[in-house]
Amino acid sequence: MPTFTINGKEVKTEAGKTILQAAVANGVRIPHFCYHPHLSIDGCCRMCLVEVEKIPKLTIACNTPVTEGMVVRTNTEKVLKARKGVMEFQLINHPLDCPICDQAGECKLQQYTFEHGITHSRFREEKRPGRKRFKIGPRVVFDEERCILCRRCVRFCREVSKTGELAVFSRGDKSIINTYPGISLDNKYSLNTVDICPVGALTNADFRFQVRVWFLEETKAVCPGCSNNCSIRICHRRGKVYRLLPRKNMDVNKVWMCDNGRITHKQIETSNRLTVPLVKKGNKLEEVSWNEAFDTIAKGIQKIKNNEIGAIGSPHATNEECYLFNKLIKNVFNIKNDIECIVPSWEADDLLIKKEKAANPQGAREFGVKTNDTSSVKKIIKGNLKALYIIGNDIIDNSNTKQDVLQTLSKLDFLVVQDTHNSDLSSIANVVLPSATFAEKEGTFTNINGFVQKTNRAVPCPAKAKPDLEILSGVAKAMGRPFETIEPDKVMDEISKNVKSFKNICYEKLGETGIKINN
Amino acid sequence: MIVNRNITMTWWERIYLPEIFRGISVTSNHFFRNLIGFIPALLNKDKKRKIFTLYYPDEKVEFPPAYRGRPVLVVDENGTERCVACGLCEIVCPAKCIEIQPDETELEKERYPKSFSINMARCIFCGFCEEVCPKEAIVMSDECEIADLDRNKMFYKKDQLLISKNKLQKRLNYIKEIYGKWNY
Amino acid sequence: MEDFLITTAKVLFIFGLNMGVFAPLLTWVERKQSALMQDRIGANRADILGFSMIGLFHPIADAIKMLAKEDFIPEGANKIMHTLSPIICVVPALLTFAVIPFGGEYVIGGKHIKLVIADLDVGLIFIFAISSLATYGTVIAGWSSNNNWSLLGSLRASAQMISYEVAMGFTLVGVFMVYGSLQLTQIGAAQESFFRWGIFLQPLGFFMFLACAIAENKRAPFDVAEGESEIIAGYFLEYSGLKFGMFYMAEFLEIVTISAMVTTLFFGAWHIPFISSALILSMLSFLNETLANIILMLIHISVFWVKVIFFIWFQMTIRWTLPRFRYDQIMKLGWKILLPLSLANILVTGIVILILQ
Repeated sequence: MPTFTINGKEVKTEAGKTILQAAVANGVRIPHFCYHPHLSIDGCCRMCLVEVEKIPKLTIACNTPVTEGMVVRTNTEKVLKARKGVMEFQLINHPLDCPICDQAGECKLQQYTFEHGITHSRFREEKRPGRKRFKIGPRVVFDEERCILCRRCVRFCREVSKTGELAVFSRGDKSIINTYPGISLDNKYSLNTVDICPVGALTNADFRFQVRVWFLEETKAVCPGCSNNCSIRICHRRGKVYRLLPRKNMDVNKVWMCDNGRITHKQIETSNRLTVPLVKKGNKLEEVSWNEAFDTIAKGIQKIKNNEIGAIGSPHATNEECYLFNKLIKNVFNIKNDIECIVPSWEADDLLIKKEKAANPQGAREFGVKTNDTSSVKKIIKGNLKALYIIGNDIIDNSNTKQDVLQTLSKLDFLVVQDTHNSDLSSIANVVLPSATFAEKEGTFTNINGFVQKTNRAVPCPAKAKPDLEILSGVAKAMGRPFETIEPDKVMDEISKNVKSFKNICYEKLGETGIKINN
Repeated sequence: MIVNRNITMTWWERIYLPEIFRGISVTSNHFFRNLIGFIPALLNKDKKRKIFTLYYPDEKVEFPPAYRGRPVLVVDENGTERCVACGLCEIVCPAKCIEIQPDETELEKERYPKSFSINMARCIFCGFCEEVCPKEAIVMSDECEIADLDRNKMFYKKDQLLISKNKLQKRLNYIKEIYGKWNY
Repeated sequence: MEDFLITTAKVLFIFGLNMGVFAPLLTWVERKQSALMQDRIGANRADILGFSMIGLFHPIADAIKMLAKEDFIPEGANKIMHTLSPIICVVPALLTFAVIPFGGEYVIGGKHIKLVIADLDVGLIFIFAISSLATYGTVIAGWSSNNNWSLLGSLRASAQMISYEVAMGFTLVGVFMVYGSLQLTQIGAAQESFFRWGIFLQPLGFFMFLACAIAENKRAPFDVAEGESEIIAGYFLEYSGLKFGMFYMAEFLEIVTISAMVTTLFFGAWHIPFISSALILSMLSFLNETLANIILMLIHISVFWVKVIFFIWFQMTIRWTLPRFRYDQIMKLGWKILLPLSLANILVTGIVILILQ
């Protein structure tokens, strides 16, 4: 544990740390462009120059290890002057694009320019021309003029995504970032380069020009894309979600996020969202009030014998929803049959993406839901089931079996579908209950490794749609046995009392990054 | 309520009558000056009266360039608006009356406002939007007759805001002069 | 029969002039004059076929508006009194003109004609008697409206009017001490010589009388009887339509009355300074007597009305120049300043008359 002095303050730090890392750990801010805590050190931007005693020249903080008795100063006049010089060089070729640049507002270059008060350029020559709006990958737009050659994106592709599409070409002032010939920046993690780009050189083609970042509100949430449950921030304004950004969570996703996860917000505002409760009258689904929908369910369920009712849960539901659905089926409907659910899957990789393409299959399993079980469909064929309560539409997710399943389900006397989007399944249902997507509800998700994280409500539900917890409690109330509570934190308290593996979980303990359940 | 204002008056002022006549001389001075100035206007000989208030709806005054009327968007020579939808006016607006939906364009400026609306019922004519604009794209015009009975009509859309550069040249020169000296 | 016709003609002349010309025109004058004094334009919007006639149609528009308005009587008001009070206000203002001479005595067709409707021996007393009646109109209007603010306004107005009536009476004592008559025609005739005008014989009396008269009329700066911020329109708050118009008419007629009285008592009535009637008649000696007298009469009538118009203008100017007094200041001015001063004026006048005898 070397002890060193930074700005007159004596601090201890771990061995092998660089000055920049030690400074950050002790709350000293050193401006930098190329350094990134999760990438290798390049030391090419020269912005983090600091003064170290007994070293004749200024030295870069990001690549100088701390040694015992080192005396570092980060805010002397010499350092500030050097930084100002570096800034002036960075700005030589940087265009004055801030009004149209999407990075404006979260741009390191803009921030440091503002901090160092550089208002005039002494550069009288022509700026270096470059490609504007170049689609370097399917999801990434590259602006060569804005690039300050920090090489963060290059290192990311080599070290994190391990695909290595990017490199710096040419020499000197002609250096440019580009992909190797014949390929484009098209890996599953390509949008992380946009996040780590300190300037607006790499921008998200999807988010580009949608909204200024300073208008966006951020809500801490969890990515529903796969069972890895990356921590994310939902950036939204006026009830519309504009983008999802990764949130630092060293146990789950570090600071990265996959491209597929970033487009999960697209499901929120689609034309086929279910917005009002529907009840089948004659052959048509008609819009009804919530109370009428609940009463229809209660009547429909009460007509049918307990052992002829089945329930299919959702791997996308939160822990609280799984628990209350369980309670609704077992305690309110008095059904002995197991709840089952189908989990869609895709190809996993060894960085973030997991095989199960749903937010909470692990949580569902913790509550006794049988995943990938289609015994109820078989039971319908045999004629043993007359009614079914389905959350989500994963049962028709597999295109091979979709038509058979739909045909089988249409034989049912009574089908309740609680879903976010209109689908073939909801069109054959007797009662359709519009529910909330991940950004519209509060709750917890359990990831494949057992980490329970809290997700928050960012935007309101569209029209009359309700969060699933409210819907389930409405059904229970219509059945005459209302739940004690539907507040997510109270439900979690109830879960921790009743479910063994959730014994140590409560909302206060979860914090921003979540904790692991006892297995 | 009697308030003691501690005003000491001279004897001349206290007898009040001379002060009354002084006051009357001031007002009647105005009266006769205006009465004499009134005659040529009455005979339709002199349209320009120097002493009179303007016959407002019939006559209109030409505002000085410093006048801040309703904010408008400048249309350049090439027929498109200068605005690049940077959103600075939207964030600086203290009345929060500006709403911009940016979008991408094939033009060189890359960005343009797909929709740009100003809620003139809320606008307070502070001119911050003009001051903050990096492109001199939104300026305060000299139009001030925007009152309406319908709130919905006060919601100015982009096509109502666009005004060609030639009409705004005076104001553009003025803001160049006044904001230019601050050296942004 | 001839006397009756002549009297009828005089009545019609005065009535027509007051009701037909002064009352409507003064509403216009007040607007336009205040506008000119304040560098504004004033009323100019009412027009007939595009001719606005510098706003001269506004009185017509006002009249139409007042006629067309609902004649509102508030619930709980005394309907008879409520209707009666505007009439009580207007009538005295018109009635005082009966004794005010608007010309001298002329020989027309061998007949002596006095240009006054009723040449009473007690003309001044008559004026006081009649103008005091206006107080009743005010009090009744405020009381019968069944409205707190009306009542407060009428209380203020009546207190003010009664206070100033005392001082006004005393100021005029000086005048008839000097001229030795209460008959207004005689007072008027006595002012033929320029230096015998009331303003020179009773300078203090003139100012005090003008102040008292304006206070009697409840116009600015003595307009506490109404006040938008405290008691709204005061005693005629609950009036609308033509009744409201009658209060206004009473106010304007009173302006004319005051001006006529000031002219008669202090400003040489119908006389032209330094030009006596005899001089004019001698200049017109080439005509026969009747014609010369008619011309003289016309000259005197116009001189009289020009003087009246000047005082109307003067009152308007005062109204738009001076800020209003506070209520206690009004009372202080009435009881503590004008009353002692008028008494002192009588004393001094009496001493001077005694010395001159």
